Amino acid sequence: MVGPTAIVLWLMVAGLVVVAYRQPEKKHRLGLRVGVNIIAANTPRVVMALLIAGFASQILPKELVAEWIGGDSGFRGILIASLLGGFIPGGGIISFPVAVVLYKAGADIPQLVAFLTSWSVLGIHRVFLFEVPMLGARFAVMRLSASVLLPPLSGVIAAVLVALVQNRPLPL
Amino acid sequence: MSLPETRLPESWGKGKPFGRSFWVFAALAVLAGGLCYRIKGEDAFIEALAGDLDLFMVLLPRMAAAMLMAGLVQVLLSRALVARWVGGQSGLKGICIAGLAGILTPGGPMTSFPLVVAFHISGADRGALVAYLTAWSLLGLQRMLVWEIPLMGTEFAFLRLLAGLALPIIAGLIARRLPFGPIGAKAEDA
Repeated sequence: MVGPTAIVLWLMVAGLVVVAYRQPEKKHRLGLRVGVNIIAANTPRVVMALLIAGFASQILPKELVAEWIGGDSGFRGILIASLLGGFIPGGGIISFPVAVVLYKAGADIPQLVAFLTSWSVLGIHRVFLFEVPMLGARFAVMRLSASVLLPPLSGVIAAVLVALVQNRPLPL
Repeated sequence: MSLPETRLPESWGKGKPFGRSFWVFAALAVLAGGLCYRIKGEDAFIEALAGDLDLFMVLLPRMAAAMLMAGLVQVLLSRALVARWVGGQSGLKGICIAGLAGILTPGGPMTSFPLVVAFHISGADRGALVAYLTAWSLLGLQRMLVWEIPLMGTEFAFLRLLAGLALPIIAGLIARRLPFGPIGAKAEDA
């Protein structure tokens, strides 16, 4: 169960502990304590999120997902995914499990990249909960105008990258 | 003008393990489980549970490490340091540095949005502010380590990073050219 990814992550933890220890205030204890708090605060929700994702991927109509944002959906699929992502509320604990569910149900990589970009830069919940109250509506409109093309753009770039890696024609 | 407090808030680690959002998640899990059992039957229900258990065993060591890293980075990065770093820059360099700061900023929106106010006060232009927020939300290292790599795998995370690397710069450059007046009516009184 402990693969190379986990080993690299734990080596990075060790590196950061050394960096924190060498600070004049020896911050390694505080940092690890904050980290343990983060683990304790999130593990119960992670377990529930996994349960939801597992059940949802059984229920979700695979034909529909494949048709809308699957391998043959092309640029239209990227646009659909670019719209969809902005409406997914919550943090990474929601969006990445949703992406896993969509992937299991047949969504393709470029469409998933567009979906996650849309959730990141257009996420409506974050605009109304944080951006408008703290930075003003004008800033939010300005930032959204500057960002509206990013989700489809990231999907197209991802499609090009996938085509390059797999040495096959662009599926767009 | 003084900056907000010098240490990044520990908000992310202060949530209660069994707070309100846990119960929302739990209710949704029961609902999804019930629907799965009704629609797809017992076999699919058990298959989903077994899949979850496998995934959890893979995730546990990765997420534990990523969350410890998140805690360490939170105490190592001081808000004043990042604000000084981003605020004084301009031009394309300013946008790139803001993007880099966005990638490195740990924590959720409770951390990043107050920092944007701090950047604005320290003199960053709106291109840099947009580049920062785009980079933080799109490529934030902590989110990538805690959620994306454990759930989607290193390969997918790397592909998405490559596909997204130019986007904060593009958004920042577009933001500078948009016909909006001076920004930050709210940020001024922060």
